[in-house]
Amino acid sequence: MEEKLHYDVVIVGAGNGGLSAATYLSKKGKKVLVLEKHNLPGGCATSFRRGRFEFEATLHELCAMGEGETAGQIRRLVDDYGLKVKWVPIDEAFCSISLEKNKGFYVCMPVGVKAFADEMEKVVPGCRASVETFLEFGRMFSDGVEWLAKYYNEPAGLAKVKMLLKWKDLMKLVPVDTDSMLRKIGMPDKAREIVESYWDYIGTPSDSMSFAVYAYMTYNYLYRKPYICHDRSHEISLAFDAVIRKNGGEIWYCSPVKKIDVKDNVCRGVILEDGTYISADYVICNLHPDTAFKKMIDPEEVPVRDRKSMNARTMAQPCLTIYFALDKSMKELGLKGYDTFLRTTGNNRKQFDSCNSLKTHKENCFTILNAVIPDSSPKGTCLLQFSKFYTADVFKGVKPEEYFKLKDQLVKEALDQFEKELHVNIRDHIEEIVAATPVTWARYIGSPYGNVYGYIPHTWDGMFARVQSGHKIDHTIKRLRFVGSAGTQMDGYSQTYLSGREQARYALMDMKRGE
Amino acid sequence: MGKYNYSKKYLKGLSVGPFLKQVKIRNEHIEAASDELKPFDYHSNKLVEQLHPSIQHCKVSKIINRTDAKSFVLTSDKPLAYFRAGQYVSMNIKVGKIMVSRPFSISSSPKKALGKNSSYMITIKDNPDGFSSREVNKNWKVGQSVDISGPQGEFYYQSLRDAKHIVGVAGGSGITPFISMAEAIADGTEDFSLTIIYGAKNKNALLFKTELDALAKKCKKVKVVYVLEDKDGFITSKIIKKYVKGDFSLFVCGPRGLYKAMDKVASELKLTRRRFRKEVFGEYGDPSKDKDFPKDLVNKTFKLTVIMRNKKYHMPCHSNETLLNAMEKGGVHAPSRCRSGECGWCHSLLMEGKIYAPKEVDGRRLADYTFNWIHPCASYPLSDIVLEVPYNK
Ligand SMILES: Cc1cc2nc3c(=O)[nH]c(=O)nc-3n(C[C@H](O)[C@H](O)[C@H](O)COP(=O)(O)OP(=O)(O)OC[C@H]3O[C@@H](n4cnc5c(N)ncnc54)[C@H](O)[C@@H]3O)c2cc1C
Ligand code: FES
Repeated sequence: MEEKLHYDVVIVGAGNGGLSAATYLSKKGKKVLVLEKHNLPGGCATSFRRGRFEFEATLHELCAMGEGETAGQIRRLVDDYGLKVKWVPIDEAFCSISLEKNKGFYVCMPVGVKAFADEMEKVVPGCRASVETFLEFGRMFSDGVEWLAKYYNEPAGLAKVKMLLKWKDLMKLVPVDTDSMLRKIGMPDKAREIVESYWDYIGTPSDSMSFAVYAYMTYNYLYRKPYICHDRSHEISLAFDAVIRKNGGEIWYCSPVKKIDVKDNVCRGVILEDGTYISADYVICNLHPDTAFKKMIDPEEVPVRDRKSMNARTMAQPCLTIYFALDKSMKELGLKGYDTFLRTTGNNRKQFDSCNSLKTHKENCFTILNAVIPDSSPKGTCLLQFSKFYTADVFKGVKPEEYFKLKDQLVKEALDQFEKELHVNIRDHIEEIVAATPVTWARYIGSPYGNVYGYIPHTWDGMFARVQSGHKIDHTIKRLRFVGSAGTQMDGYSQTYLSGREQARYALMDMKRGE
Repeated sequence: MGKYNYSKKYLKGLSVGPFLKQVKIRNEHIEAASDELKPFDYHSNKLVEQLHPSIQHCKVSKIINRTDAKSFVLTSDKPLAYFRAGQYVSMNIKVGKIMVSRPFSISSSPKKALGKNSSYMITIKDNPDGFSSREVNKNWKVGQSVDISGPQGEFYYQSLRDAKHIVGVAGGSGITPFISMAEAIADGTEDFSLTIIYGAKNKNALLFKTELDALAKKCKKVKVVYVLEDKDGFITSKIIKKYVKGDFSLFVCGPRGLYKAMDKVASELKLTRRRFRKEVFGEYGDPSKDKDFPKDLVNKTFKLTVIMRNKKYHMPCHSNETLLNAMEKGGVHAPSRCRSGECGWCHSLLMEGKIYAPKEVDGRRLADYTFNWIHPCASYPLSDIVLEVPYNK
């Protein structure tokens, strides 16, 4: 006789959002089951081995961490969860290269609010006042966001009045775009182009990105420092796995969910690829809504709001990541910097517009892990990674038999550019090379064309608007909630951890109310 | 407030109105969109299904008898996944009541996987003491159903990393990936030069000799050198130097002994690591002679408890046999692919107990040590064990 399987909460997908939600709910005493298609936790947060090397798959840096008095909301989250991870602060902000004729630059920016302003002044004399203003706004946003977090982003009653009084400036600057505000505070063009280097992390160009969001992030990186973990992000994902088990939760690997069972607008459980039915009081879905609604939920049960939502919103970026293990050290190769934005132009609208095809996309964000963790590869070697973000299904029309050649071609183009612009020789030192195309990402995380960023946060679909819709308005199917990069908090490690906790908390409230 | 040092003049003309209206504006955008439920038909996701199927249901459509080996041509209703010459598949084999998986290199060109007559060739050496290989070579007939994984492995030519000239050293059934590479060069799929140095006991032990000679004759980029133990001795650096000039990458596939010999050859030839690549060779075998293996635990039997999803299984395990084998014998078909400690597909949580993992085949990630995850295909029990493994049907 088939036994009946029932859990309080089933989490579909062990990515950052799913792991965070599972940790929160298991800690609150819920009987949680995490179902993961792959044989490992983490989704994007993972690592892989080749020869004598272990590569980081995705983590460039975590935001809002800090330590001691600089501790931010992510530090509190990981401490609260009890994750056992060897966190490592990064002592540089970023390097930025613009290849634009006559206007080009190659700068390396330090962390620390003051150090950053000092260096900016050195690189662009006369910009100090505007940079300091920008960072003061950033500090205010940072305090404001931390304040809002105390009210779980939903200040009500007296708190709402307080918000209207105390955080007026923040509210005024959320809907303003980054470009125009930086101009308004008198930042010279070159300084602005440097300051905007991070835009790629958010996934929308600075003329349509919330000034508050951008200044918040920049300030957080500078003040609290960017963080990574010592043993690649596989360490974080296994730490989550361990905590969930310790809290009494279960995780089943190699267990892809095939259907999310929704009937009469209520989610009742899931069906696994092998036919196993698991009923649940609540389901939290870590997959992209596009995947869930178009492939896993009965079409008749897809709410109108979600149909419209999917058509209104813009799919975010899939990526091409290229990993090199080189048989010489950074120094021997003449490489510097941990995280560098290599851009054909300082104008990120132009950059963004070139991202919709393989032909025109020439931007590259590269990281060298050894700059932060010298022993992340054997002595006398280093790990170099390229990341390129697209804005469309760029492998459209490619036949299986063309795929491998095209992949090698893209790697070659990126390497040619890198060597030429940095005047270095890499190709004679490649010991291992791995390229993960949007197809690879689609394979591992199952998202639409390898999208890893959710939805583009257009001015109308920005973080604050999403957060305010995340409890009720976008909760369209009873006992089902979404977490992850397509969620309210947008993409990135920190943000998806937050999204997992936020929706898990709402789910708990729903369950308490018996909804 | 004065708490923040910026001038209020920058906020002139701005109000909180737009902030308070954000949700409304967002709702209007969404409301204005069509309510059509569009299909999930992205090209990249289709490519995933074509290139990386998790399982391929095949039939044996032809069997070629060779001296000491058989080749099986596998076909399916759907085109088989395209692959890189040199890759392998993991094949499910049922021996009596036991289901095991074994890796086999594809010994045909990727081109043959294309189109209506899509096929792979798998070649299996006879091994009278073998468990699964004997079952296949003895009992499989045309029409046999076979489930295989998608193409796996990293043993292929990569134009940016490797020299344009590959020297492929093969021993025994290790010739199979090189057949695929040679065919791929001959039919224009791949563009590099390949010198195969094929070692065997004697002339009769050479697999694919006719095919190799024909390929070398047909294609200038493919050369074949046979090194017969009874006539020429073993493959040495001298032999390689005799046939190869200039920059080259050394690729090795064959029995474990060959890898040891080639380590020496590579150092004699002063090859850098990037010029020397080894295919995974499968089971490590009995580890009890390893220097760091605890001598008092040789040949001991322990209790193994396996947790798969919400089920528990109990079986014995032995210190000279991998946990993966013990599970398969005990009726649990745990996931595996390379069976060499490298690919990580068998990644499992060691809940209780101690294991021995030979350094040479310990392909774990750093964090695996911290959180007690192991690769059962390359782990031997040193105590009673409780192991949680990923699901496999
Ligand atoms: C990447 C790769 C590619 C390969 N390609 C080829 C190829 O193209 N052609 C080829 O011929 N070979 C190839 N091989 C080797 C092939 O996989 C092995 O030769 C094959 O698995 C050996 O089968 P066997 O029957 O000899 O050994 P098996 O007996 O199947 O396996 C050996 C192990 O099985 C254990 N065992 C014994 N009894 C049991 C039991 N009851 N249950 C479970 N386990 C048991 C033994 O202890 C031993 O350690 C390849 C190997 C790899 C790793
Ligand atoms: S099966 Fe590849 S590591 Fe175990």
